[in-house]
Amino acid sequence: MRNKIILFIFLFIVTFFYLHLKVSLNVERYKLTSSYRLYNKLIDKRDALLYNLTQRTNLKIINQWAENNRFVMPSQKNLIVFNREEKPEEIRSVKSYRTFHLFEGGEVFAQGR
Amino acid sequence: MIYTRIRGRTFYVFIFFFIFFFLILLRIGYLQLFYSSFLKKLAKSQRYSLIRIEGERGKIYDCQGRILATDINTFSIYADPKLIKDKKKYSLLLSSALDISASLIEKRLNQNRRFVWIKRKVSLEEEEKIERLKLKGIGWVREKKRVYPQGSLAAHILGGVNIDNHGIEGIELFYDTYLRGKKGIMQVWRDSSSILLSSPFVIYPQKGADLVLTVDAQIQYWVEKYLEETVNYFNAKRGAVVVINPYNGEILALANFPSFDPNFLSKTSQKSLRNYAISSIFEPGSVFKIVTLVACIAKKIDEKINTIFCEGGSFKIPGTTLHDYRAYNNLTFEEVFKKSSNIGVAKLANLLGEEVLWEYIQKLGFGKKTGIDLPGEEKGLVKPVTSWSRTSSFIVPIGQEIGVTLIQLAKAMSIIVNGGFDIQPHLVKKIISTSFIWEKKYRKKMVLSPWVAEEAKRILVQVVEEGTGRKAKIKNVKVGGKTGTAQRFNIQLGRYTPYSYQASFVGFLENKRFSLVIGVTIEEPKKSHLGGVVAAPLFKKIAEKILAYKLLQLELAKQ
Repeated sequence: MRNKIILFIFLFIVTFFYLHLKVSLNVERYKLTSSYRLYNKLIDKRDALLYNLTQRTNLKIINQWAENNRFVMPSQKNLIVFNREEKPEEIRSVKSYRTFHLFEGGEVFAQGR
Repeated sequence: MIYTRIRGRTFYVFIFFFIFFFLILLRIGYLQLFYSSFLKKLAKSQRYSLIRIEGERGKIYDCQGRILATDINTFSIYADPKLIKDKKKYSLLLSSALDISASLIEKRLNQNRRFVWIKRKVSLEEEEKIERLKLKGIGWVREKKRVYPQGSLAAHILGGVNIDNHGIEGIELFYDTYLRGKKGIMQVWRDSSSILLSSPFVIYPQKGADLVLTVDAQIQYWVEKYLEETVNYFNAKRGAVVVINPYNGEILALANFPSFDPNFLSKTSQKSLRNYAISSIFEPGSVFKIVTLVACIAKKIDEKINTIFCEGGSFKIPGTTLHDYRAYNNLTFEEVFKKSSNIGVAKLANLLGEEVLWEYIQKLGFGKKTGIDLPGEEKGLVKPVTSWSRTSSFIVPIGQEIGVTLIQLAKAMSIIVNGGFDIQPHLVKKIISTSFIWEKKYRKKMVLSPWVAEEAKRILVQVVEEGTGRKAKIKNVKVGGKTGTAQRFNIQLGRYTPYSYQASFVGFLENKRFSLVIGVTIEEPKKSHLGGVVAAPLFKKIAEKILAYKLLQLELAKQ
């Protein structure tokens, strides 16, 4: 009788964890799907904006605008160039880190950089 | 008695259920034993499916990093006609949203199929309009579309792609294997309400390699603009221009007019698609005299003779009579080229001999492909010296009985300008992939002695300073070149016609900091037919702009 109860509890725990895993996997799937959907929507928006921008600002339009407003290229004589003063480079601390590459067969290989 | 009857009925019911469940068990056992793998596969196929993810095609940049071609996400609208009842109403609604005719949509909806395309590759705005209508039986899928943000700019260089994003013209075709992305695969699950769920089992698509061209879009713009103006002004049939760096063969601009917009490649006529700069073979006329010039200098003919008698403008040769544009008598070696005397050049070529002339035709790259990285290049028409007639040795040196392309002329001029090195004209500077950056290296081989090239260059500068190419002259800049005016052969009539000409000018400009070679050819100009009048001014316009632009660029880089 005692053995039967232990077996029952064991089976219950295993089944519970199995079902829990299944449910959490599906939850992850839904989350992943919504993330993909959002990602794709953002890409769509980016592409639409890029397309509209380039249609309005292509070289032909810019050049025509420059010609209409009588812009001319400066000659070497009347070219004034302002330079940005360069600051001395800041010293940054470089932290070393490790990257792990997982190869087939589950062998973990560590590479220090 | 009653009890016995009930027992009998219960027995029959028991037997009935026993047989019923026994048969079910038998069926289950049969299916499990013989059909289990098939049914498992069937169930799996209903729940899981594999979706192909398109790999993005590589971008094309000009040498300044401006985007010339890129991929964007678009939407292709489809319908399931079986789910649509009021097809007329649907076609009217879709027609107003997608800007296609209602009758065409109705025709598609009336097909006896479960899937029909309504319109492919529409914009996000159009897709949003459709979504707002909430029409049952109408759906969309994402598709990549090739977009050329600069419109028709550099159309003949870029070429174009078909509806499946495969290169069919220009650079898009030549580098298709690099540009094309690799497809990926994603496993998706279908839940109880038929919603597709992504799974982490993904083979990500690979983006194609990006190309960095040698072309400068700003220079390309000026070249196309001035070429169009010239073709329209002279009421010409067409024209082409090539701008090349003579030292490394980098092409800064290559234009043809009429042109096309690669965004609407399917609506473009086959004639406009043709890249005349590399595929149109024409008789070059006087431009070809640079071959005789180089050969004479190399063989020191110029040192051996004082003057050439040009027969007063008319010279009888085997089979025909040669004429000069003006009547000349005695001309010096330099003057023969400055005044572009046909008789003088023919006589010089005869002093050289056929074999020597043939050797230099080959050295300057005529009769073979330049190796430009564009599809459809022609190698020209050059008869081997063994098949030359008695007339050939007189007329080949003046650019008749020989067929060349504009790119070949520009290459030959580059060899003279760069001090005698054979270069390969090319359009791609770098190929950038996720795994490598390939900076292309092109061949360079010495074919002329530097002193020969230098002397030829000096005489070509004289051609512009005082000769036929005066209209290409730019103040305070070293400019050289050779004009060419050739009668065009009419295939239908089978002879040269007096009203059809090819006007060309191939020249160079040299500065302390850079050099350029510009080749110009205009087909069948009407107001004038002379290379010095039609093509040389176009060279000048382009050269002046590039000069100011390049100097500004160099000045800014120095700062």
